[in-house]
Amino acid sequence: MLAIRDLRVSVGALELVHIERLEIPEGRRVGLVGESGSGKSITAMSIAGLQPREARLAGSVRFAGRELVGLSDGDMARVRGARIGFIPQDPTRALNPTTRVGPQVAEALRLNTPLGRGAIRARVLELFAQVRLPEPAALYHRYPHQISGGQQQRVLIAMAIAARPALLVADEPTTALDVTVQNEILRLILELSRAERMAMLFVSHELGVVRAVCDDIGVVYGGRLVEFAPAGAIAARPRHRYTEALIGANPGLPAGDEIPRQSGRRFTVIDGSVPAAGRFPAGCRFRNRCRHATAACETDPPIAPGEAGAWVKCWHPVAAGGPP
Amino acid sequence: MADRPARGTSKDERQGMNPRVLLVIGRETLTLVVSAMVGSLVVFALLRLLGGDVALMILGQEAPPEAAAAMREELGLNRPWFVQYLDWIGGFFTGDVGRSYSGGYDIFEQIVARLGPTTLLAFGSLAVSILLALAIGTYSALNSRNAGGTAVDLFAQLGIAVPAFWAGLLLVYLFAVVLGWLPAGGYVPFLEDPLGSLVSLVLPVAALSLGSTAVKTRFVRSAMLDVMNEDYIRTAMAKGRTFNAAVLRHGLRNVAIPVLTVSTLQLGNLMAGAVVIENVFVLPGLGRLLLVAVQGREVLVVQSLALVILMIVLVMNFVMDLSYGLLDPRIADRRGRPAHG
Amino acid sequence: MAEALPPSTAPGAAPGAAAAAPARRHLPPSLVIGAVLVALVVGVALLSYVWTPHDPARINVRARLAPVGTPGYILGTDRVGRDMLTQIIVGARTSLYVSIVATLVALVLGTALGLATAASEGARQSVMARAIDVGVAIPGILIALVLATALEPGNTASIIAIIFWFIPIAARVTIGPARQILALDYVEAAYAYGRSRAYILWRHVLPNISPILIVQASIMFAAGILVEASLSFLGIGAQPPVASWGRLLKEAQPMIDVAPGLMVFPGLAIMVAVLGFNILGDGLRAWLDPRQITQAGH
Repeated sequence: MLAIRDLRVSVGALELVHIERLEIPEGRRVGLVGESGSGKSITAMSIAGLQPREARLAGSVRFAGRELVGLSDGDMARVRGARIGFIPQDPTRALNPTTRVGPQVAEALRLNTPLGRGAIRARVLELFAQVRLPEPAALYHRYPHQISGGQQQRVLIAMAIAARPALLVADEPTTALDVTVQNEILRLILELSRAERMAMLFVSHELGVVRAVCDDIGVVYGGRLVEFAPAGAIAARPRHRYTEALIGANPGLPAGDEIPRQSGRRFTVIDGSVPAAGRFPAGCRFRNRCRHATAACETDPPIAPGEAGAWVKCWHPVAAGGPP
Repeated sequence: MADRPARGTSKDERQGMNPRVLLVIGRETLTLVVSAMVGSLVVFALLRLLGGDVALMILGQEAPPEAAAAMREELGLNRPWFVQYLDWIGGFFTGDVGRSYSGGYDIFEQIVARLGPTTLLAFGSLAVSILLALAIGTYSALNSRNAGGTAVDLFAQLGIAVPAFWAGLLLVYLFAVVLGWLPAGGYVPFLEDPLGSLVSLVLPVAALSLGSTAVKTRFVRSAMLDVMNEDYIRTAMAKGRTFNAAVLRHGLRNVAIPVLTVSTLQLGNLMAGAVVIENVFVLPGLGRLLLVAVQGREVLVVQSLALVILMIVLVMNFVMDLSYGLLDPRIADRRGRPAHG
Repeated sequence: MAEALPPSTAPGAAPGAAAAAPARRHLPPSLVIGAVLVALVVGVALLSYVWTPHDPARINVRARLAPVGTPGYILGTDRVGRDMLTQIIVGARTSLYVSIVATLVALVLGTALGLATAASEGARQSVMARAIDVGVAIPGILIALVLATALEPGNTASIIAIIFWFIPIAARVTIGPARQILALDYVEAAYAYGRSRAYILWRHVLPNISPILIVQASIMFAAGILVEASLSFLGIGAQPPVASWGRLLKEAQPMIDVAPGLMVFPGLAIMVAVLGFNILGDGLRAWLDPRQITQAGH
């Protein structure tokens, strides 16, 4: 339903993202995992046409048979909201502070459905119940600052699914929330996408979270998608050396590029640090931090297909089939 | 970002009328009353302390002592100062402030008659400058990021540097003397001829609002550029709005709050400008009467008019303070709490 | 008229970015432009003490209403034949004298008031701050008009009026930054050593907020020039034979249809002087960057 081919997002001469291919079939949940600054969020926003204003898109994003790259602002706006829902990263900043939350959700319905006033209000209350907000009728009239961060995210989720979109784009939807609330919100998103049979693009920096939510996982490094595989396979048998390093470095923990915050410490577990955008080496972008790099890595590795739609973009991948 | 309501989720607050809003209104009203009392005392004291003998101010320093004594008696200047003060303030409630010594007119009557032109001029300029600033500032923020900024900066600098009365003179020359489109001065009462009244106010309002429009435009532009990067603009786009529509729908209201703050700070300047502009365009307003009274050394008229103009500023302040509360729900919740809460 | 323009936000330039740069930076163009304009006005004002094209007070009815470009009267003459260029040059003196004296006095008193407010505590502080707010709200021209009733009109009356007008503004600008400095650890530590409040304000707070005060001074000079012109235009400032740009405009107004040129140059002179000090203030703000020290309020 969503197919990306050679999507490039650049600001001026600087190319932030180049995703060679990515597919999201109908009803399937695909996760993008990567360190902060890897370009995963920009990719997700670009699909919904929400990339930063100065960013330029090139390549192709086909959604439900329609090319999204190059659409006018107005045409893109009609796709967004109606067909693609978006859940933002920081709910505490994503609601308009001067407007009550009910009407903010109602606006999404007004824009994307033919419902009348009364029906819209009823639908908002229904949505509030669906995202399990307490006392929907009372909450309708609250201002964003009067409700908690978790409740704000529920309101934003209600907004995203209001018009029953075919694709939900969630950009690190739990990063800004308290640990205790994170799981509830994840479970809610997962349930909703199942119940409404929505496809989903789910972005996170925690592999464990993505694995819990998604069917397929793509690993992003330096603005490139370097590996793509079913969720079960990727943790058990990573193929790309970067993925391997991510998981191998912390075997006992839910796989992720960083030790989750619960431990109270954060540290990167791979040699060196992520270069700044534009400072990546030519060829394989990971090669300056990779223990297996050779001269071959100075050219861009091709996409090597594996089982069940999986693929890897690496000159020296971990041998298929066996554990690392 | 704790998953706890920040505050203000008790059931009685869920509907529009927040009891804290009432508390805010109460506090603002108290401030208004106290400010008015202090202001009136200051005006009263300034004239008494700096001017010395009011009778001699009117009669001239060489007046014979008997005449001065008679004048003091006539004006009630022999009474204790607080009696004089209370008598004067009381006059505003009974509608009898006294008569002009040289002009012979009833002061209270004149104040009432002249409130119209002054408030139309001041409020008109305020409204015009806010609306124009929102329009130009938003347009330039949306449509040209750097060139627009330079142009707006230039406009703001010129707008401040051109004195309102000079702008008034230039406008009169162009539109009244050369083109003959608009009257050079004078005023048509609004109730007699609304259209004519507005026409007679076009140039004064243009002259008076020029400077504050320029300042506010620069402010709106910069606030708008900030708002454009807010996450809630992206949320509005995610709902299916284009960037421009999202900014207009969700950004404008958020920008209006700081613009109101700036406008409130400028109110004093606005009234000061109104006094000058009335004299450029010979509008029969409070400022014109005030200047005539100053030249005639009519202490009672001057202090009464000064108080009325001060009250206009304080009341406008009061109204604008309350209107932020309506525009920005966070302020009502914050200000309504007990001090240092 | 005495308010600072809000700093314009250049897209892409975060406020913090400039603060991170070292103190020695190349001069901002606005500083140079502002300084040149101010130097021009100050130079003209000083020139008036040693030389003017004509005697400023001389009336020459035969040369009255000479147009611009008349030999010997480059900017023309007014209705009693006084040379416009001479009047403008001498007017610069009045403008600067009134505005600078008044601003400096108001700045000293207002800063002292602001510091005292910032250093006081609890209810006293909120009452003082509120009173200053009310003072800012009072249209300064009322003070000027009330004073003009009580005093003889003239430059001294203008100066006193402007002082009263600007004190609350200067105080208000001081309070926020001063409070932030007072809240810094080392300042609180100084209290703990037993330093007096006055010592701390003088030694720690004042030097730290001085960039803000310098910028404010420049903006207030500009506002002072505007106020002086307004008062003279109303006839309650400079009195004949003292030359003043505002009074030139007052005299030009009745002649607007006969000799419209009379109102051009005094207005331009005011504009250049005000622009100069305001742009200089902007340049100083960019150069000294008060936000480096503290995120000042308005």
